[in-house]
Amino acid sequence: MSLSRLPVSHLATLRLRIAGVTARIDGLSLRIRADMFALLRPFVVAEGEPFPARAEVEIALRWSPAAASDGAPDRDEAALENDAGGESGEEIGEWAAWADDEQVFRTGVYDRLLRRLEWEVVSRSVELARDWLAWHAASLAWEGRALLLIGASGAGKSTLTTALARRGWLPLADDLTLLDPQTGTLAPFPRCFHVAAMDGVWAASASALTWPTLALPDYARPRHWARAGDAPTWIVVIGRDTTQSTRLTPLSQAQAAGALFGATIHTASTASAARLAATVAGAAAGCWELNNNDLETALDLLTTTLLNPSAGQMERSRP
Amino acid sequence: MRSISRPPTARPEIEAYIVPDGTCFLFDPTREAGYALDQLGALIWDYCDGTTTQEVIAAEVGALLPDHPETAERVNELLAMFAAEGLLLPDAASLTCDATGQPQEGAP
Repeated sequence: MSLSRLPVSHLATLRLRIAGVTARIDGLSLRIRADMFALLRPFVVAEGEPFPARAEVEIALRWSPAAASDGAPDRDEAALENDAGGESGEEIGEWAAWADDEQVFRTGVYDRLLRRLEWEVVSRSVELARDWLAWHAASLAWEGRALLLIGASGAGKSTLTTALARRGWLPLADDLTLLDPQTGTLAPFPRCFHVAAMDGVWAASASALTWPTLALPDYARPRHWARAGDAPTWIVVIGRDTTQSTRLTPLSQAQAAGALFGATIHTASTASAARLAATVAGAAAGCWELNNNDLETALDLLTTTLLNPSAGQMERSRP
Repeated sequence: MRSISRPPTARPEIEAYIVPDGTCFLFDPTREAGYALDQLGALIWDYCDGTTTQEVIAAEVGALLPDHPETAERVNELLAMFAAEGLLLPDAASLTCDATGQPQEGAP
């Protein structure tokens, strides 16, 4: 039976708890539910576990057999397509996602539907998180100490995170890091990594990753995660200036605080975001700026400088 | 009687976080903007309490860093930056002083 002929009676629900926020997606076909379950498995609330009648985030999918190619994709959809390397997927009729009585996206391509749905439910949940401060940052742990990697999309956070995991670091997150403001410690956020742009890095790290669904071959989840409770010890702000060599240069704690503040996605207030950014940066043992043009050099610089600070001078570079 | 510029005065709502390396992160809750200051910037910000004129700040900070002749220029640049970013109280209300340079009672 093709997806476009599924009767309404096959539509299903997925219940999630993301960063402490309850979320529910309704109107899923069995196939979409299976793939979303696989993508979001660490967040899925099992049958029988308590769950409110009304979730804090509610997204409903609505399907119609008409093709979605009756207009240009919206800006977000085009961005997601670019993000996915421009790949095109299976056409499935038109699916629209609704939240708070507003249509948030529509698409007729299966892989775009999964990407967008995963992004919507995660981002909407994190924005409502009461108990966490969320940064747009990657993070990893090494023997009880945590590294924060801050950078714009495309700076190399996911690539560095996966490659560092291959060198023995334990990942906490590749894109969205959660800080407990009460303890000043990080918690793992076991969302899939987006490994499309990693060239051969993910292939070399294949044994450390799992691929939840064939529908999104560029979404992978590490097999092992750091435990919660490590405080940020190092802060690295990643940039990519192709005219400069790959280098790691010291950053002041105030500059690191500014970068953290700028990476804030959600907290109870901007004032608390500023205070926490200053607190975390002020407690960090080291803050650096990484010009990330060459992965292996960047990895060598990070591991040498962070784990063996007495091995050499603070500022390092290689051509 | 002569008129002088108001000594640089930090807006009271600006939050300043001095971090252990001596630098400072400023947060302006009105604009929801953050600013990273280096050690010199942090020192100068500390002077912006409304009691010291720009000239005196430049002289005192310059005396602290005698090997850096560019300090006075940097003080002026940083104070201009603070003002341009709206981190200081507006300078429009200048103080009226008597011949000794003391602000007069009731000056605007």
